[in-house]
Amino acid sequence: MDIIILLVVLIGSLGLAVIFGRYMARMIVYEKRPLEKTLGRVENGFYHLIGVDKYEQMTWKQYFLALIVTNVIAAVFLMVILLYQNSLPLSPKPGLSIDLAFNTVASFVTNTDLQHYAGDQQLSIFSQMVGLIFMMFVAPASGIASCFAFIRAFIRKEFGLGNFYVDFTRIILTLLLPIAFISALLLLLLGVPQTLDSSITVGNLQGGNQTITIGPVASLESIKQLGSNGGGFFGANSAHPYENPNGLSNVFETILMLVIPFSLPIAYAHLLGRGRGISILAAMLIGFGVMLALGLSEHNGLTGLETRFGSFGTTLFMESSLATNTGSANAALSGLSPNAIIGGYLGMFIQAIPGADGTGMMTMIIFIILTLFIVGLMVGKTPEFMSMKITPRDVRLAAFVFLIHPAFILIPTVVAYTSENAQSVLGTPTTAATYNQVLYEFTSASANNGSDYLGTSANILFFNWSTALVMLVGRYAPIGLMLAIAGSFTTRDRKEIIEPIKTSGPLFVGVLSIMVFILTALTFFPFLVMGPFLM
Amino acid sequence: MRTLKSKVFSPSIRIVVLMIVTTGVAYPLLVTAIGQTTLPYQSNGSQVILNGKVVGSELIAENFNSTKFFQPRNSTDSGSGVDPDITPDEAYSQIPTISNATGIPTNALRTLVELDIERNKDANGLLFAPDYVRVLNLNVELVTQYPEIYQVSANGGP
Amino acid sequence: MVKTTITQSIFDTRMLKDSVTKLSPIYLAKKSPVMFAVEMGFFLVLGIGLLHNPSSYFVNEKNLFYFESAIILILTVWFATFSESLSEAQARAKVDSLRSLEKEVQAKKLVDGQEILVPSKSLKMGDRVRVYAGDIIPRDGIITEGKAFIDESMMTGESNPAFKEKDNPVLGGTKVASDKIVVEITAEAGKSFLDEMVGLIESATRPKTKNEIALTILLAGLSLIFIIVVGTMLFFGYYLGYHMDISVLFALLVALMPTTIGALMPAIGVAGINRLARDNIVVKSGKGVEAAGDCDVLILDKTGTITEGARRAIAFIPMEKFTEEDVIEAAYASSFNDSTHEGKSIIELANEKKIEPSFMMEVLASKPIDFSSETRFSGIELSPKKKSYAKQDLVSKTSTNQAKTRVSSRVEELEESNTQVRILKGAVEAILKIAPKVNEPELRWKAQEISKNGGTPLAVAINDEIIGLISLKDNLKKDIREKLEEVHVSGISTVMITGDNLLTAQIIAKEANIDQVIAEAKPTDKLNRVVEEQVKGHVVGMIGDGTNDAPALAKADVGLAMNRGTAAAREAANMVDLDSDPSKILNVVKLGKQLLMTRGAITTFSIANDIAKYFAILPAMFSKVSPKIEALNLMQLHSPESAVISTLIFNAIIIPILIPLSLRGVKYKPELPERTFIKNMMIYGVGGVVLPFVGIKAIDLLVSLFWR
Repeated sequence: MDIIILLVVLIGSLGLAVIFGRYMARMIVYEKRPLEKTLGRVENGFYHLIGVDKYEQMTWKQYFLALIVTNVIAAVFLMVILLYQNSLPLSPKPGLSIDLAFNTVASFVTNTDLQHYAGDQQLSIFSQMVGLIFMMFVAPASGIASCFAFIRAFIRKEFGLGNFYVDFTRIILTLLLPIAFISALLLLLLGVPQTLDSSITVGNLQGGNQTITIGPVASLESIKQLGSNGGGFFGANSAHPYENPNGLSNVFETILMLVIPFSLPIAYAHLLGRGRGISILAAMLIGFGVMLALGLSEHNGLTGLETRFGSFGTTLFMESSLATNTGSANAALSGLSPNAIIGGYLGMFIQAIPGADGTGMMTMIIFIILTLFIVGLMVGKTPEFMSMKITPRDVRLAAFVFLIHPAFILIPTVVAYTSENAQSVLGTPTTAATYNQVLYEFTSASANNGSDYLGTSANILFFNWSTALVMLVGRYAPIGLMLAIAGSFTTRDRKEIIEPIKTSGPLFVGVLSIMVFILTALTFFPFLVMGPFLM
Repeated sequence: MRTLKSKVFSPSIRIVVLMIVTTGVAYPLLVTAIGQTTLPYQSNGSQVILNGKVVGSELIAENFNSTKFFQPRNSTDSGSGVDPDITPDEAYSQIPTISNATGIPTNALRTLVELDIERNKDANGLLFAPDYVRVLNLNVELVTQYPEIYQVSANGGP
Repeated sequence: MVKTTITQSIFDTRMLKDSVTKLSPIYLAKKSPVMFAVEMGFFLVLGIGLLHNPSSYFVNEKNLFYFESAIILILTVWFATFSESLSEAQARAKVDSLRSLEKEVQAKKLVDGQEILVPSKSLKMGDRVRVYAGDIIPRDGIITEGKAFIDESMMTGESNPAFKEKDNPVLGGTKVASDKIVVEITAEAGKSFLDEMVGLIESATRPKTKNEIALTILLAGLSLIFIIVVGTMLFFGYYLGYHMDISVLFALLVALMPTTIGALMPAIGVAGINRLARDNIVVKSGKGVEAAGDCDVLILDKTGTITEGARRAIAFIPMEKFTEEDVIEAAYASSFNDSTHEGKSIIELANEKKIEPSFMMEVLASKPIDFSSETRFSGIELSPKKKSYAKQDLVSKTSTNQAKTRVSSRVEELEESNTQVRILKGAVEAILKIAPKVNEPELRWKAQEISKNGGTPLAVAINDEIIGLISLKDNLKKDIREKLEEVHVSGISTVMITGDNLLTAQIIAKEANIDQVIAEAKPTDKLNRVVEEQVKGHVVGMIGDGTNDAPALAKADVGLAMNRGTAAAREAANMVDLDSDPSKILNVVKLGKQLLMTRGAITTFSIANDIAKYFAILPAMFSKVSPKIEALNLMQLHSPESAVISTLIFNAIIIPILIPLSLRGVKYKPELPERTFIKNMMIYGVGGVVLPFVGIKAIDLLVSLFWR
């Protein structure tokens, strides 16, 4: 039975990825999509209202600036909502404190969805709907847009990186929104509620009354999973029966997380060579496979888990959530075996097996460039990627991408201890288990994952501000650096002859997988030993 | 500065406003409208009705302090705290207590548990979830099957 | 000679002193951040050893342990500086051997036709000096009078003296082996080619190449990451109460940082240039060598590179009316005064066929007609018959036994009619203009046939009648086919440039295994082709010697100039071959590849090593913390202390073990890049993972024998 669930998840997500990958390839190179006329007309209406020329190409700096400014404006909007939800309609609740609001905004705009609040208790329906659901479209659309621009850099010389506003509009209107809409209806069918009421009061079988929190859960749940967001309507996230009512919804939500990350290498295959794209997908699947193997190597007890998912359904969901940096959880992390947690760390350290919507694919290409640079010299030529020379600048920018992650995980973790904030939340003495929770908090923040042990207990000034900073750096610095790399590739000469090292085939997949593992494992191995391994 | 304003700020503000309307308002409202009209049961939280009265949500664990009922998990044991289900083993282990309290034969209780497991299996496409017992449904079944024993409870509290 | 000097002089005290001087932290901070970090570790660990228990929390080993660690750390750094000094000493040895040539000599300066003895350094540009057999040419110059054989062996290693005549350049320091010449000095004192070379090899400020820069950045990035890792471990260990020893943490840092490649990188770069120098190729910048590795298009001159550069007669083809003998007689006569290689080869072929003109006496008495670029033919003009009438009789008598050839009859006939007789040979078109008496379609068809076989046809005519054709062919250089095959396998495409017609060029290209040809090339074609290929993104290598090659040499990514070429060409190129052997560009390409491969292989090896080092040190660090760590203790080392020491020793000695490899370079075999990749990945990647497991375990077994 477990095997069948695994096969359904893999075949389902990969099958959908084949369809969406082809579709996204068309989006990237502006080819005709199904219903092009209608979609084009709607989009043109949007471009008209936005005031952009859809043919105008952006440099990487312009693209990044447009992304940042759009994200900032969306963030300011959400900030205002969260601070003043008490005077807004639909079940007003007290406004959040500035630090918690800022943390939440940083969390959702960066596609992290770390939650230091309990959604069902602290947010109004208006905040959840107009604030969070909206932001759950903005964040993945920004990630996918930058990935589109990134891929365009390699298509051919001076192809252009595209226009952020155009990509952003098209991604939301013709990719995320339709899938989210259909998925929301499916989830509804499976039992996820959708209402504008914030609670229902019902009787008990034994008599008396109970009040149950409710809301527009289905419309949030679908984009939460699809957009590698992960921020739950309820504090319990996808463990809550209203977010994830049964085994079928669990399988469906798992597939939703994997679809877009798996689609991008397929889009890449359509645009830049079948073998190359498939090899990237294969490397992602190998990494994901390792995570699953780790997760399944130990059986999880029922404590912290939901009965309807069991150990297997929980592990599959959790490892998918960590692999795609969605960060939604259908169980309490403390219920997972140490090996499952180590598997999860692996996903968050690598961020590319398959990683979040858009950024996972970009990160994997950076891994490829670094791999080619390290091992490529061995054939006696300056390493090349897509028949373009890898320059010192590329290596410097890529090295920064890899430096940011450990620096912004490890140093803030140290600060959490030296400032005694960690101890104040988790108590003393520090044990491998409590240390693991703090390390996890910052790893999750830096990887823009969003799952955490601490939850509302981390709602203190230090963790709110520090994780907000880590999330922002962990999101925008790599995107900026990667777009800078893309920007220089787009102007580079392509050779007509074949690359010295083919970026496809089993050999390359093997070498890439090993390098991905080495480059991250070498960095984080001691911390895994000190934390989860010794729990 | 002027170009920055017209090239970046203005389109960014406009696109944000448009997307708020599209994704933050229109999308959830449309899903709500469809849900409320076509799937009112699920949309409103899968409320279980017994004798014309809402007795809880199928999906949310409900406390039962009487030993005449199957008990859900302790709220802190599960991931959500409101896990509506228990494992078959857990259900079977509660049968003797319930049988003692109600006088319902154990094999009758066992059959009910098994029926509930089958029902849940069907709801999960047979293959996509482990076997489990949905506590509220099972207890509602008990009340329906043995109205005389649960008379008091059905009318509102022992 | 040069080679012996190197082995004699590199292991000297200067080199050792230099390697110690390089231990200066200031030098290391600038040159090698990785080694600088290791040295800081040395000071730290030494300090802990010297101070008695500076911290009870972070210091919990015996004092001896700190001293041992400190010694290994400073040895690690010294091995790095040693490898760099060694490669620099090699370069110096080459310089010294060249310097020794630059002896002060007495020059015989010509002033108003008189020889005056002056010291060579007082010579100025434009001065003329006479150099006799046995004398050393005082400085670079051009021969203005005379011809001589010059012994250039000290400069090029070529033992056969080179023949030089008027307008040929000569190098200062070379020796006149025969005759005497007058040389006009063309270089200022201290600016001669030799000086230039010495300066280039010696230059300490070798700018880093792009790949070196990129690799340095990567290594610095990795080091920084590991510094963060180890630095934060210190804190976590403290808060978790693990009592981690600070020197053990530093050992972990040193083990993880890419010390092997960091230590050997400078040596690898210098060694590449040295190896070329040993091949008598002077490199003006490291860039050129690296570009050579990337080279994927080679533009090669046909003459001198692919072929011997000397066309030889291989066949005589008569017109229908004549016999082969006729053609031989006429060809012999027309070439009698031709001292070029081609002319001589015609006479030789005739001799081989044992035929010479029956009118030899007239030939002996003939007047030469020299080749000129307007006429494009050469030959002889027979003197009027009257003067040698008696002799003619004599000749007739001696040759009575032979049946008279048509040609000799024709010559006789013409002479008798007192017509001037000219026997000429030249390009078919040129001869056709002056000798139209021929079946033109037949001539063209036969000429075409010669071309088809890769030969060059020359027509031979007596006055207005064409007798036949001589087929000249340039022989391929020995082994050139194999060499070019290797080039192909490495994925490089070759372009041959030649003045020949397309047909001939294509034949030779096919024989020599060349991909493309530029036939009937004009001087600008080379430059155009270089630019054209570069626009397509190719890295272009080419050779050149003439002034007209200079722009193309300058533009090419790898420009190899011939030492015998003009100063302009040498100036423009980024390397100069002292042996003037154009086919050495293939060596340059090979070496460039080797250089990059060596760097890549040691980098991969260095990073792959880290896996084993983790498994050696981490269990040692946490063994006291939790028994669960036993699961990671794959290596089962003697004790935590011996694990750390063994890892550090392995980390240190791997550097001197790899010095020969970095100086010699990774073995390069021409084959598909993919094969090279698999092979090197197996050796340096997989080997890099496995070797330290074995090595550290072995060292640990050894160390544990002496463990207190």
